[in-house]
Amino acid sequence: MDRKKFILLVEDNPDDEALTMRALKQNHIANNVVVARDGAEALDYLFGRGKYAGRDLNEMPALILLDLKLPKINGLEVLKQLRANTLTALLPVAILTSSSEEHDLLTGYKLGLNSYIIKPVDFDQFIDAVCNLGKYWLSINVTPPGSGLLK
Amino acid sequence: MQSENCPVISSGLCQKLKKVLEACLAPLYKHTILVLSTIFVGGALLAFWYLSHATTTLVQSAALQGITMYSESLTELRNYYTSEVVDRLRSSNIEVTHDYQLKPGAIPLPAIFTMELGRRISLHGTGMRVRLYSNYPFPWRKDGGARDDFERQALVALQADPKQPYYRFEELDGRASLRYATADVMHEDCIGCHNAHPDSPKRDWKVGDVRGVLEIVRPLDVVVSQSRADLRDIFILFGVLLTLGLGALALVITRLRRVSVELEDQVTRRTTQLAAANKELEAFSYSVSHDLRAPLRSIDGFSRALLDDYAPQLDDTGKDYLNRVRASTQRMGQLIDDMLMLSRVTRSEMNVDTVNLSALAQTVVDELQQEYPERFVEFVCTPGMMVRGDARLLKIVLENLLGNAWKFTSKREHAHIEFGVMHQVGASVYFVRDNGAGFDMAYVGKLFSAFQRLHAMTEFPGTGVGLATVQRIIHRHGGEAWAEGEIDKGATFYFTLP
Repeated sequence: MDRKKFILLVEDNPDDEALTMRALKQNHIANNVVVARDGAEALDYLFGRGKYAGRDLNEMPALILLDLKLPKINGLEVLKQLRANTLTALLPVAILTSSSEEHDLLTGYKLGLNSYIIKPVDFDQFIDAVCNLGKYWLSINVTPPGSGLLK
Repeated sequence: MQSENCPVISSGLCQKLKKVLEACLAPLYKHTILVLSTIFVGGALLAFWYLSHATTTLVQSAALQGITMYSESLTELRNYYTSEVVDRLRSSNIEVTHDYQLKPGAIPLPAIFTMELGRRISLHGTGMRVRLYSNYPFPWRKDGGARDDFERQALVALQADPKQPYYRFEELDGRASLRYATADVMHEDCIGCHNAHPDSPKRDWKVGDVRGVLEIVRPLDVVVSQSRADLRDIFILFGVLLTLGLGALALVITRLRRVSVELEDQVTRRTTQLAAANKELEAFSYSVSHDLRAPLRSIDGFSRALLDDYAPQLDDTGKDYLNRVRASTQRMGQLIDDMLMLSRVTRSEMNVDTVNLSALAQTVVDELQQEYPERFVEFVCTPGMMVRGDARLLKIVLENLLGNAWKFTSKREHAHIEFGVMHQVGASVYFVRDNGAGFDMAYVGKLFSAFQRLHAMTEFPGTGVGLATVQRIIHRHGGEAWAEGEIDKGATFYFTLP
């Protein structure tokens, strides 16, 4: 069984998506990324609902990269719902956002966030950040049993 | 330096004491009118009691003074009568007797003279009475001995000490009276007669012996009732004044309470408005933080992508332009960050605690040294500068002031930064001094305004938000911030924390 770790990127801004993908590609992780364009889609994917109905729920990402400001359901709300469901309660979630608001940081960590990364304006720094993130969560970090395995 | 009332160690205990005191005072503040009324009425009663006491004392001492003079006059008159009248006439065979009224040509005995004088004075209606009594009365005196307790006591007391008058304030025949007794002492002029008189009950009198007692009774009931009536008038006046005063006070307090309720309402209204405005501002800065940075990142990211992926198609000028685009986006990113910090500094809640400024400054300088390991800066800091304030905000102050000093001394061979305190009357003034580029005092007014810079970007980098941030934080602490400087001589930034 070929098991590959993958990332779920939840990002509504196509520019940011393209740049994140570009940064991931430079670090050779771009093939292991699933993209959701808003909070609702991310939840549909994780719980196998809507257009993702019937998805194999054994396949869970090793890391969810979550933007805060998302259409329909915002990042913190997504996080809250994930933590409330046993299926996704232990999934590592990192918020990747432009916001450096203390309030968001505090709420995020209170809801059981694993990591909070502020997207730097400088693209060089952004590449560095994404590179470190990918390396850490896909290679170094050990995921909780029963999640984050792609068959 | 200790800028607070309680020492740090016992501040917990001090706060507990304060709470207890507040709990005790709270009901007093709540029932101000009741408390004031009690104090006023208590004070009035005390004053009235004192007044009544003082009046009694005054009446008694006046009565005593009058009666003393009266008694002295009587005694003196009798002595004069004895020595100048009786003695002179005796040699001319004029009889001196107790029943002089029955015998033509006779004159009264001195004692009889005194009694008759007293009787005549008492006829004036003052109620004043004079009485002579003795342990050895002449046989013709039916009531010449002691008749009641006072008279017995007077005889005993005056036998023991003839010079000290004996007196009492007591009821006599249903009237409040002063009874005043003096010793009737044997003089040389009296002895011969008293030891020789055929009816004398005692014949061995010596000079200085107490023959008997001269008692004067002065009724005080008229004076007392007069003074009581006066007191009652004063009391009524007092009561009326007190009632008026309390009424006025109650009116003022009620009015003040109403004003304070109105003010509180106003404060609540304003606070709500302010909170709403703050919330709006928060939403705004949130949008700025998120939405304004996203396109910037795109501009920078895709510029970089262009440079990376299409380098062969671009000439040097094209690459230069793209690099300029990137530099500008980064600068704008920095501006947005600084602007956000400025607004956050104004909005964030204050957590006031005891802060060690010296330690905080050392941390900041250590961080700067780590960031710029190639710089050698001499940093001098007064140890143990303790203040009350928000540690996080004060760190931002020091980061900006020390960061500026660090930045503006970058062209000095021997960079020197000093952080210390000057104790002045009423306040401690903290200062950060450097020997850097300095500034022209003509522009000192612009120094603390946001986005104002006194140096070219190429000379020293920066956005011009740092000092505005410093000033806002110091103002939020209730302090002041100002600066002094001279071009090429360095700058000193001062701030106070109350």
